[in-house]
Amino acid sequence: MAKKSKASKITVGNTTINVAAHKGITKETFKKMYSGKFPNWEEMYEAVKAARK
Amino acid sequence: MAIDCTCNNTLRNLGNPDCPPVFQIAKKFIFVPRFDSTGAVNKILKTDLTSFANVEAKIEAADPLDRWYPTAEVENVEDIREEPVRQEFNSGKSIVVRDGFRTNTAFIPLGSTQELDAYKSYGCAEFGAYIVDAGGNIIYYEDANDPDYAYPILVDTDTYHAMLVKATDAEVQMVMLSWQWRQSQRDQNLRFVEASDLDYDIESLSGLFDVEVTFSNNNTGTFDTFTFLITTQFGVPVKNLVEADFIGFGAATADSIYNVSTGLDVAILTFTDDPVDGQYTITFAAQSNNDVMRLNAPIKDGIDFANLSNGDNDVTLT
Repeated sequence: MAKKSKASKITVGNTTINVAAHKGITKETFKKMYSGKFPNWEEMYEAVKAARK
Repeated sequence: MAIDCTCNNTLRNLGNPDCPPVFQIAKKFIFVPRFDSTGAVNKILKTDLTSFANVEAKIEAADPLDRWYPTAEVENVEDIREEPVRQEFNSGKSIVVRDGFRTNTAFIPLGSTQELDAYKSYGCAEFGAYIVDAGGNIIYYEDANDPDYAYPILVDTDTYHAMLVKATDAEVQMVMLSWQWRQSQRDQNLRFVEASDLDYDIESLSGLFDVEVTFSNNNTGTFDTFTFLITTQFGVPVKNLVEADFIGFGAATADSIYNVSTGLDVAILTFTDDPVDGQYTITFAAQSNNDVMRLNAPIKDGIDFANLSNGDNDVTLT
């Protein structure tokens, strides 16, 4: 069975996120890194999580 | 025997076609360094001149020595060869000692002082030029020993001059370019590729734009982000850049910036195209206080980003 390819980058709003660079990141770490920078950090985290699956 | 002759010259046939291939007045020049990045003379196969892909590759060449530099459109061009120098004898006989120099003068209407600054730099290096005439033809120099190639016509760099002509009540501001062609460049060796053979509109060719960058948001105390605004040297925002446009200056790592202090490329974690045109915010793994960061990007869409990584435009994280 062919392995499902994962997106290396995703875009949320006008921000492109490097998915590979966030491999294995926890929500707490993500929040710590981005909550002060992006009001929609939770949306971004969910998108990264979905892209990693 | 005239000065252009050799010992075995015979008279040449003088058949004259109904539609002779004649040049029209110059409308644009394409400046080309005399020598490329390998030290070889810059030239191009005549057959390659017909394809836009080949010409675009020249204009966007990564190495400035391999690059072509189309000028803005020029007006009031005069390209005149002086009368030959003659020696008069007591008998009244007059023998040509040498051809006169050919001098080219051209004006760039509405030329800016920023453009003047760029044009002035051409007096500092050996270069030649292809001429684009009013018919869209490309005039080049043919070397009889290498007839498959189109050579730029060599400029006598010592004679090159660019100057600002300020506006008057009757005239707009202009940049005037003048130079003499090298005395070795013989008029009879000039040829052209006809506009009808080109798959592009050569008059629309434009040189690259340089960029300027200003940084902000680099003093957040987190050492993991900064914002930058990129414009051309004329203040026009450079829009629609993406993360993939940036390559680490150190090891050419994709989607990265460069930490000058550590000598390492740093992956871009997020790349935001801000609502302000030409402004972008990036985040990356936290670096150290006072680390110096550098952007680096290759030429894209007529924009030369070399100024980002020349060392004069780094940003310090605090």
